[in-house]
Amino acid sequence: MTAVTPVGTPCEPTSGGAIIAELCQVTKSFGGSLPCLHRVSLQLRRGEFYFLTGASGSGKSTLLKLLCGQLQPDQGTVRLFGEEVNPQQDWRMAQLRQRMGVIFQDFKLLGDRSVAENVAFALLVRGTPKAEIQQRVQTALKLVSLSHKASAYPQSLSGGEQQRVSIARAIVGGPELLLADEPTGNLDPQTSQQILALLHRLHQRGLTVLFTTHDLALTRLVSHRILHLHHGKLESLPYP
Amino acid sequence: MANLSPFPTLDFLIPEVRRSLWRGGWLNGAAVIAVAVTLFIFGWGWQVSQLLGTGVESLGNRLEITAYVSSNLSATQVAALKEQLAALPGVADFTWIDRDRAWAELQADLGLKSEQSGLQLFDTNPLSDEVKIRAQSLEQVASLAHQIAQKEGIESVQYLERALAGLQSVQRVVRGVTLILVLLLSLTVVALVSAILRLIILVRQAEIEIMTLVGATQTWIYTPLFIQAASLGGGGGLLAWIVGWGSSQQLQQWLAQQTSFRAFASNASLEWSAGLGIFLIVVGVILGLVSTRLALQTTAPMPK
Repeated sequence: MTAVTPVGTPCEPTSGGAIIAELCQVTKSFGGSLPCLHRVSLQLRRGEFYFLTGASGSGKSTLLKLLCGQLQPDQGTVRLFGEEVNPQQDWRMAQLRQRMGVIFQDFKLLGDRSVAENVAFALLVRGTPKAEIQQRVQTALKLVSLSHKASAYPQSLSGGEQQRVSIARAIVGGPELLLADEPTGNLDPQTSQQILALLHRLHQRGLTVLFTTHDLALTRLVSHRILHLHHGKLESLPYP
Repeated sequence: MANLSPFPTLDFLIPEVRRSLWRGGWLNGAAVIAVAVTLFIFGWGWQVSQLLGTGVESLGNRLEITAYVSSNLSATQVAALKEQLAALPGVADFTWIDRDRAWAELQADLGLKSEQSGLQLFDTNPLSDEVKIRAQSLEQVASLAHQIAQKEGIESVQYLERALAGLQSVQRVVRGVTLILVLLLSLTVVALVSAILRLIILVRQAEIEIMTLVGATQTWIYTPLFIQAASLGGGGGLLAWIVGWGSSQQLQQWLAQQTSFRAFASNASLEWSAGLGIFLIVVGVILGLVSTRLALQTTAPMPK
């Protein structure tokens, strides 16, 4: 199944639930002469694991930010779960974002909250009842093997552990799609592999994952589809 | 579709507001004091203006317009004039003093009898009929006097125009100065509180980004800030009222001890009422909310 719509092909509206996220002829620039992304079209299928590779500055993070509504495309459309993404529609965006999880290279953990509080935060801001939060946090920490660190603070954790907390926070709400923005960028090779293995396990449980990395060695460890960004254009690489 | 509560829950709000206040640190104190100073000045300006207004009003009510009626009017014309004067807008009441009564009163005032030499130089009663008119309000006195003077049969009109105008201008100055001071200080307060909130928003950028990405709405993200600013404003209003109430008590006690002010102190109330307190708290809360709106407009991240 081809995940990448060739450049220039008009995007047909998607039907059914097979396509979880979609970029259609998207162009995005930041004031420079060359656009960061140029007429990129992409369809992510439910239940798949995708690597998004490319050199630094190739537009990987921009593509992720477009998917989660942090940026607005200059041209083209972005669809999530069959709905067009419009960052100006606060309520609709909040609803869409609750169906996905995001993890970052720099973990983005809150230093003044414990591990459990960091994970619970994702549910707290949605108004989830306290008892449900407790139960879900326990489950999420168990999944990332950090139950024993629930009351620890992020500063006392290693990079790998911090990233696992970040993953627990991203999955605690039961997302359908996980966007991982260079999650191994700050980690040593061994820890990177552990994080990849963890995300791979989550994918096997049914989660759709988009994993950006500039480290091609990682993509060879597991057999997943690879999308490659080069000079703002998207290419599909064969399975490794 | 995921569940989404439109308004933040208390489980979320209470710790977030507490955390945000903690982050504000001593800047919160600065904001409360700035609001308190503004509202304290406003409160005293209001009190003094009210006091002055009441004084001017009561004095104005005692200010009468005296109109002198031409002596060659017939009885029919006098009756018509009485009707016209009574029908004028702004007339609270009027007293017609006919010339014979006025003459008798003058003689009585002077302690003379008509046959005594002092007044024998007048063959006839030299006075004319006189009308004493009281206006319904201070502002109406001047225009009423003007209208009375226009009436046929009225020879002249007298009232304390300059004194009245002077009192009114003092009242206007007090009100104007209070208003300008309060406006300037309110702008300062809004600038200060919104600067504090901007700092807090900048400190919380990472947290706000995470909240956005995990599916919080703007209402969830920024309600704690609105509550924080409203608390600071309300706190400032309360502090202004407490200090104002205390100072008014002290001033009233001091005035009562001064012989020359005793009469004034017994008549005038300087006390800051509970109603004024509630009003100051509400104004403080509004200042806080306006500051938050301003801070969000200039700081809150929007997708580009």
